[in-house]
Amino acid sequence: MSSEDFVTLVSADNHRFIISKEVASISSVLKNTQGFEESKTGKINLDMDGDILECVVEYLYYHYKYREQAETGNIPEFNIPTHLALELLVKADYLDI
Amino acid sequence: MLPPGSRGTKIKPPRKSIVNSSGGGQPIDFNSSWDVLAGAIVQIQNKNVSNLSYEQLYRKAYTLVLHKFGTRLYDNVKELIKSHLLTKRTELLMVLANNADGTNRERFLKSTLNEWNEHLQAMKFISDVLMYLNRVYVREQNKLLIYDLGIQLFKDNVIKYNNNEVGGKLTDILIQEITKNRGGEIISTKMYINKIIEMFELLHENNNIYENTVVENYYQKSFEPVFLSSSETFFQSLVIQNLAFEDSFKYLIETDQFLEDEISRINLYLPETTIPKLVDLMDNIMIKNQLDVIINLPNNGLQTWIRIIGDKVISGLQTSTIDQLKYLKLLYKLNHRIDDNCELLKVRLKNIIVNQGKEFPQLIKNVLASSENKESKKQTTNTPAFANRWIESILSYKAQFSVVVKESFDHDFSMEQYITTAIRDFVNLPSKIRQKPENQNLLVVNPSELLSIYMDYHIKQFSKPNSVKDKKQLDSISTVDEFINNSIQFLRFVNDKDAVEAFYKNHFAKRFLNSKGFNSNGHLRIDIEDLVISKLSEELGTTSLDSIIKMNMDIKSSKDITSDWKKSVGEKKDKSIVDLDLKICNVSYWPNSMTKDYKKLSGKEPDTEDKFIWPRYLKQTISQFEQFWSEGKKNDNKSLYWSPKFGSIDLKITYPSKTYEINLSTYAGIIMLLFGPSTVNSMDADYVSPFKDKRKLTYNEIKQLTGIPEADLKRHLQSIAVAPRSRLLIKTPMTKDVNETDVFELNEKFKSPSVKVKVLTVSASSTTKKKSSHEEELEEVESDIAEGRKHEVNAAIVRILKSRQSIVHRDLISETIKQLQSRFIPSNILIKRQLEDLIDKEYLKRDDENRNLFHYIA
Repeated sequence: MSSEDFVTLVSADNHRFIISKEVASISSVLKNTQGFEESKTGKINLDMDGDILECVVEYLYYHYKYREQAETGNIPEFNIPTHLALELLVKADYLDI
Repeated sequence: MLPPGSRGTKIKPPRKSIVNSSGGGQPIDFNSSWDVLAGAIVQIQNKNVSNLSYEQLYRKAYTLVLHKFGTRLYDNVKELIKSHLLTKRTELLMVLANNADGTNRERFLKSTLNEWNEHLQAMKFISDVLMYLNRVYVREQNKLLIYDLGIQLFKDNVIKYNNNEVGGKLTDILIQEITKNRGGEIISTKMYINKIIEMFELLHENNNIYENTVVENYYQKSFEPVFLSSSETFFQSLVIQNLAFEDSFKYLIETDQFLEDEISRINLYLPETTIPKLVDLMDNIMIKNQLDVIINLPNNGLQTWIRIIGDKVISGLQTSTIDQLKYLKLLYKLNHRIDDNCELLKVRLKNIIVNQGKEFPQLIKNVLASSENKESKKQTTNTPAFANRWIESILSYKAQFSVVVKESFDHDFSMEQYITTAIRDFVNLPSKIRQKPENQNLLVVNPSELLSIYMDYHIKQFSKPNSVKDKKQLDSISTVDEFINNSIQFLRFVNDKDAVEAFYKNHFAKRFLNSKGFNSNGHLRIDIEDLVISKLSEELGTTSLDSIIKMNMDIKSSKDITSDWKKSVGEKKDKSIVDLDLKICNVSYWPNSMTKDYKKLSGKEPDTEDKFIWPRYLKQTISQFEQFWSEGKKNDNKSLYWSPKFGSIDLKITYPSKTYEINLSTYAGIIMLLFGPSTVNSMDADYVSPFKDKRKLTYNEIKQLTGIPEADLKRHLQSIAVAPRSRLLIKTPMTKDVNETDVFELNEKFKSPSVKVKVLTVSASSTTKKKSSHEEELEEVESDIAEGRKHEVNAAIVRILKSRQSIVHRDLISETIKQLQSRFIPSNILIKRQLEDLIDKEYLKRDDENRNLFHYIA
């Protein structure tokens, strides 16, 4: 994979997460950055803290990994740190996940 | 419910920066956010997307929506896009107005498409930026998604703005281009047409897509109707243009070509939904409305093509009809487009065939008259030559049409049936048709009689030993087969099968009675008669041929009796007995027309005035045979009558120059015997050569001496005294007609190239006085037929009532017709008359209350 296939997500407190574009595309917001400045820089600045973003990234990979089995329902549970739950809910809505 | 392990852990509230805005705190300034977004939208429209940060814009829109600014945002976006599109619209119209190089229209199409595509692209980005608005606000408010809003705006502000200005112009240009293309012009705008139409299809007319109605688009609502109506005008002008050829083939070929082109054209340009509409339009305007006109065009139309086929048949020339097959194929194809059954073609074709077939007799008569010598002026339609030509023409006509059905009508069985019905119609043309003024000059023939004549002629040909060329003899079996096949095939066209039987019976009887004897018949004769009878039985059933079969049996028994008789004569060695071949017929089976006067002519009935007198030369033989006959064990109760009307006599006459063996009819022979020597044996003392005797007899003397009925006497006297080749007697004066004052004597100077001479009896029809005997005979046969029909109708009615016991009038009529139609079609009058007859005879009775109900009386 070339660097073209990756995108860097930057949190408000400047944590960086480099993830595959394919995985990022699960969020339509991240996907829609195509054609905008973000696709030129390969960087998307997000208005959220690192721990939240980490959780989001984890979830994206989790979603990506089990996308095939989603129908059968035969997948492990995704654990959310309880203290972040509410915040994550808001961010998930923002990112349209 | 929290998961079990989460108890006691604290849920952090979401970060203030977002949440607090919903609950107060820092107020969000709509205008500053909107300014950013509006700027971005303009950038997007100017294709500067890559300089914008999506995340920031998205967040702005997100925040605005969260702060309940959805409506304002939505409306502002709408206004912004609208004003942008209005500007673009003006630019487009300027493109169209600028026609410096004459390509303005093409550039207009191109620019419009360009704007459209850019607009769509921009709308995609705008919609992406405003995704949160779509997801939350639009869904809640049941409004159009931003992207769809963009399309609506394009439709309302570019295409349809100012009374459909741009849209109308596009439509006009498109239709003009398509029309040019229809005219055969190659157009450079092909690819634009497609794209514009695609665009039209995307422009939904119904602004609220959430309604469950079928969404109409601009194409369907605005473009298609205009297109169809302009197409209609075009097709109509094309029809006029093609009609101007006044040539239906040309019309058909032009139309067919155009249809093909047009279909591939619309396949290229237009969406599938329009194709059936346009095809329908074309079919209606170019085929359905015009087909009848085309078929009836006098110049190179259906009639001409069929006429050529008919002419080919009549002339017997091997004209090629490949062109006609092609024309008919096209006609069929086009008719088939609009009607699977091709009803119109069928009806018209049938009409033409019937009308053409009606002319056949006259045409054939003309052909025969021109090919033969002038003597055939008197050509009647009941000659073998005519019958052959007519029947063979019709069969070949049918064969021609089989080819047509195969080659042009796609093996359409119903077409073939229609053609067969048409042929049957003209074959069975009722003679009544001449009563109509337009048919007065029509030559109507009797198919039953002609078929019988045809069969008679061929049977005679086959039975002539060696008279046919030897080559032909070789394949005589196959020609016999062909003849029988033709006869049966034609028989199937004839409605009145019973009439065929009656005529056939008559001819059959004549063949037998007029034939010279068994020996000269050739071995084929009996075979072929048997063969024909068996084939006819297969076709018509043995019961209806009963009497013919019995007649055939008579012939066989006659043969046996003759040989028995000859044996017995041989034993007696009586010189006074003349050699005799016998034809003994059971009167009840043989045709009435031949047997009606058998008693009168036999010379046995004492009281009749013109009693026939047998010459003494024959009397001995006659009485000897009668004795032989009555002695025969089988002939107990059968009385025997002699019929001099039939048969022939062989005479050996020694003229001064030469001795001739002369075969003549019985009557003629008997007349000749009057002039013979008074004794049989030339060695007798008082023998005087008849040529020295120079006996002269007047007409009246001959009449008295023989007792031959007048008409026959005149006929036979003509045969032996007037006909140039067989002038055995001299008639004074030498006129053509025989008069009562004429005097006859032997013709000393008679000469003939061969020793054997056959005197042909002058045909009855050439004696113009009175009704010709042919007509008389025809009447006899016809009355036979009529009589037979009465019986058949009676039998059918009784059969029906026997099985039903009671039946209403209407059913009875239809049932009777059904039972008899394979033989003939009984008229209602006939059935009614026979019903009355049967009621009189107490086979059935009317119901006392219901006059329409009949009961069977057992």
